[in-house]
Amino acid sequence: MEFPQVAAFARLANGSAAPTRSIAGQATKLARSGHYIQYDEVHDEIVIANPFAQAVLFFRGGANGKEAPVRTVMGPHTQIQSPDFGLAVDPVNNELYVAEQDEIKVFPRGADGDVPPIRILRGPHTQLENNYGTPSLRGVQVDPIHNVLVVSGYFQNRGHILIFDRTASGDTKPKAEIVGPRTLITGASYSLRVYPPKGWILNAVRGGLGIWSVNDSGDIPPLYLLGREGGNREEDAGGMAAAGVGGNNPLGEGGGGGLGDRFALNPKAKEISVENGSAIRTYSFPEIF
Amino acid sequence: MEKKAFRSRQSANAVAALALMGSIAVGLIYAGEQQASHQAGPWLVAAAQAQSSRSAAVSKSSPGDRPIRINRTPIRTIKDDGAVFTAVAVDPVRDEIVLQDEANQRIYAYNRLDNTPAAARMTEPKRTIGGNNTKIADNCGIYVDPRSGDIYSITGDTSDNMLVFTHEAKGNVPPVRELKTPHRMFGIAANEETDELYIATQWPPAVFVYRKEAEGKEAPVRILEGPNTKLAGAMGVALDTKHQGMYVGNWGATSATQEGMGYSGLPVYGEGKYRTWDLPDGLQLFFRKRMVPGSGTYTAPFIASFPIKASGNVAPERIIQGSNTHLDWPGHMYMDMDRQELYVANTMDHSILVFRATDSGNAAPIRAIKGDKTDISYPVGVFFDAKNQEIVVSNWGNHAATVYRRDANGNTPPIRKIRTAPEGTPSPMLSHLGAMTYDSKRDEIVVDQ
Repeated sequence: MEFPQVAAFARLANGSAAPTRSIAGQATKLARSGHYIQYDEVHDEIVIANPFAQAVLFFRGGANGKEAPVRTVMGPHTQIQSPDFGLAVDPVNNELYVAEQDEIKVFPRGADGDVPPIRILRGPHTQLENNYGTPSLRGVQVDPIHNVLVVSGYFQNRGHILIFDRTASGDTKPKAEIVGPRTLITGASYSLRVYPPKGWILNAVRGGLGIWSVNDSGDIPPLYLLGREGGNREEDAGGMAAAGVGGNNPLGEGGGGGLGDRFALNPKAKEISVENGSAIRTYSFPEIF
Repeated sequence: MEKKAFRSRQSANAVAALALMGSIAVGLIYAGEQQASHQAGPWLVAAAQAQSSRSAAVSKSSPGDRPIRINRTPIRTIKDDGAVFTAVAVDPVRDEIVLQDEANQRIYAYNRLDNTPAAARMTEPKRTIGGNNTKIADNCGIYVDPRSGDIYSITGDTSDNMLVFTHEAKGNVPPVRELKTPHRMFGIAANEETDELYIATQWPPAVFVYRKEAEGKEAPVRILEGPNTKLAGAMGVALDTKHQGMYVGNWGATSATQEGMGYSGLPVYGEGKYRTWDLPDGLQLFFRKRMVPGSGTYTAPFIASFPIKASGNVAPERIIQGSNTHLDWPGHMYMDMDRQELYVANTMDHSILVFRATDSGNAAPIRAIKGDKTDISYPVGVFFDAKNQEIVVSNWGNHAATVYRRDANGNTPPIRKIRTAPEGTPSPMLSHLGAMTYDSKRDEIVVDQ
């Protein structure tokens, strides 16, 4: 983890391909431990955090090389403490969500510099707190069509997905919780994703990549379970999500049948790209788009 | 007033977003779905269409139908087939160069004089250590004990450990010792006179000093940390045992720890080699909310020097920092103790910088190996081989380790080069990926690590 670049690869890249561009270097203000990245296609920006400096960085969508961010949210008024877990940009409602340990801070998307959050979701009723074991929060996503905020995390040392009203604030209960053995969720994924046109929630689980509806609740299996051919057995780890924090597979083989924990959706080509240690595997899953 | 003004801005933003999405929807009608989707993404079009009703059109299915299992083979895989190197150590007794390959999570040992011919595809290592049993993952720092030949491997991420392998270790073998360490380790250096290991962690920044034989949950004998140290994104560490100096490279990004929540605040039990601390569980519990919110800062990269026995919250004796230094994400460092020269792998400048140990302030390097003839590409590791008077560089960008004479300067070709892939093979330069997204405008997969 000595080279924390943001690298872009052509969608059709294959084999030992060089990135088409790489954002790296002192001027970029990047560091390692950025566990979330989002491309905001409306505003053509990339958002990523530097947890060391407690900063959220916005880059031009086409940024390259030693390029500085166009905006940086950091400073005492932000109250940002450890933004190394989930981030989400809601380009429709123009908001930035920063998930931190056991709370979610919301900023204007265009915020720059030392600005306070416009609302904070935290408190015992949120189930964002996990008083024992690992800090709760991992992933956060916004579905602006169904107007929900979706969160992955730990609670009482088990993984779960929480669904809140998008504008939930303060000590508010989630609308729904997807949790239990039938869900196949064991850990908590950094790379939670939503696909608003279909109302999907995508989250790595034991055995692969699970897909639920934003209307799901309780101990319910995923609607879809996407896996790698020859794997996808429930006893296989599905990447870091299944193994919990520290579940990295030394050989980068995705823990058996699972696809991996970090992934990206390409609705246009109906593909999902998945990290596999130091590799990027791309699969075609037209059924889910 | 502020809230009202903000709501007003929000409203204006929403209108702007709707207008934009409206234009996208128009584009959808006139340009066809594929082109419009390429411009802005289909789900945003759907968002525009759903704005008024907020309808939730999701699939319904009974729980008994679930899950629908779909297994596929990947249609494309971006993967580096060659090895790319992070850290390097030279074993002058056994005449070997030992290299860390973080991308493939392996350690390779080569003959020191190996030199891949220009026409050759690659050079096979003498030994490879890798596989599940080795526990090697995110291996970013290395030390080889010149007396025993033991290989010490630092893990920078999830496993949080230092693994020790014997010189003879080969293949998928377990380490002979494992020390649990804090998170985000990078640099390692040894004091051969005191049999101590110095390990730097990036954030919260600190230097831990362990007994060389430490294993399990043994606690460090000293910790250098705190605001007075000025450490900020600590990376490489180098020692000068002749002149009792310690040098720590920093990238400059950091934030403040809450009072009493430094590593030194973690409870320690027992004495001597039985002196343990609670890693990693205690760290998780004890250090919750350990950072001061909003205290983050950036400074220019720098090298801080301390007395070799520095401990606690002490100020550095000197700092090398400023535009003349050309520091840009400095990686591993190594000291030529006889000449008191400090070698720095200056990753983003594609250079090896050499500073005087006594340099301070905005000092220019006294030598720099840099240029297209050097074959240096994203250098992360550097080792000064005092016995053979050579500089060995591990490159992240070109599947190669390169070797130079001690006094190399400027655009100097290497005297030897160990390659792991055919000359000119591109490298994705990927290691443990942190996150991924898709850039619909440029049709690119975007990752961070």
